[in-house]
Amino acid sequence: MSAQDVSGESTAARFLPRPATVLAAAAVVAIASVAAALAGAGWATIPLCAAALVVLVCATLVAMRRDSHAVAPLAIALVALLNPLVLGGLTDHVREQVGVVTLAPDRGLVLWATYPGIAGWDGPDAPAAVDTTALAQAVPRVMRGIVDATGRGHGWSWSLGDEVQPGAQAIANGFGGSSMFWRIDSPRWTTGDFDGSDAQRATLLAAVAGAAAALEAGEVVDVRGDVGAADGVRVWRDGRGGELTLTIAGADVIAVYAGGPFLAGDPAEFDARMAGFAGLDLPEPIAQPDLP
Amino acid sequence: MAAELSEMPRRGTPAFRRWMWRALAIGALPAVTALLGVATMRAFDLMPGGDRLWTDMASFLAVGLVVCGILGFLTILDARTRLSGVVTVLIALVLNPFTAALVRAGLGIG
Repeated sequence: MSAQDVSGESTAARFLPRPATVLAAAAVVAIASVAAALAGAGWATIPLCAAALVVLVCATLVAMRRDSHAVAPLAIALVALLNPLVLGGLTDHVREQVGVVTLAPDRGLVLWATYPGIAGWDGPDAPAAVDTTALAQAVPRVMRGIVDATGRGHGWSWSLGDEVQPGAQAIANGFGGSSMFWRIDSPRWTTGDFDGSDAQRATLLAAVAGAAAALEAGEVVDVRGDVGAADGVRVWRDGRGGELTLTIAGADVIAVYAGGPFLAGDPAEFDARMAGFAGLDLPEPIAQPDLP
Repeated sequence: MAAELSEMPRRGTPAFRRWMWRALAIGALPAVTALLGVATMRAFDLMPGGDRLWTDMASFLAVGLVVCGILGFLTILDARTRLSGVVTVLIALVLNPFTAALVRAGLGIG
């Protein structure tokens, strides 16, 4: 390659920035990308990606033509790692795998996935522990009792709805992890065999009242109408968050239990874990907790 | 300024085009590796039951990441591209679902 060849490139080369200039531009793009990621400024993605691409091409040409072995490659490394696409992907990955992470000056990184409470739910200050295992075993048994009593006595045929997932499930804390609270649901038992007779009504109410007593749900509230005489909705509450609901609408009868949030662990452990988050403002939840 | 410039083939010649494409490919290698690494992590995040397109692409993305790592290692051999090569290899080693899983396990999170 002759000197003439090289000088023939002088026009283009005049516009080739110095390595330090490219590194400064890369630093600006990197800082802006981090700031945009922290601020959640999605609109900045395309302009910053375009800027990163320009810096990348310039830095490559500078590295090759100016024999920049360190400064221009450093600019390449900077925009390769700190650009909106990579930062966005990393943010999504961390959120998916680790949950919400914030920075507190006095305690460093705060992993909100371990938060024992539930975002958006103000629970009691000192929640009492509930034996969720025993309750989860008792609920289907007592609900089955209602079905058996009316089936045996009056030949009712019940069907199961799939509106709710039955069983015991930990409630998400909203920050990417599970809270220490659980919910317990029965299947939604439905029948259309009620003929409106007093005998059938009495059997049904006795069976549901028995189930409520077994679940320690002693508070009776007629939400709508009066199921003792006509159509309506009656709820038996246990005072801890559990509700057994009976709905009568013509020939249709629906019986369902929904309970929670129940503290499923040691209250002392709950208090200890909550103490780790004392004084911190709750961040924005990333998932909607599935409260009963 | 021209005196500071290193040699390059005459413009418009096949040699120049080769030189240019090779330079741009090496320059883009760290960024491509980082994007592939993050995409692989996201694809593995979505397994199982995630978007079918991503989960089907996961193995191809992982292979692409390994290829980028190997190319990065090769670029270490040239002094002018050494730093980019080192960065590429480091990115490939750090930004992948396996290292991410190890880090999470080590920190006891996730």
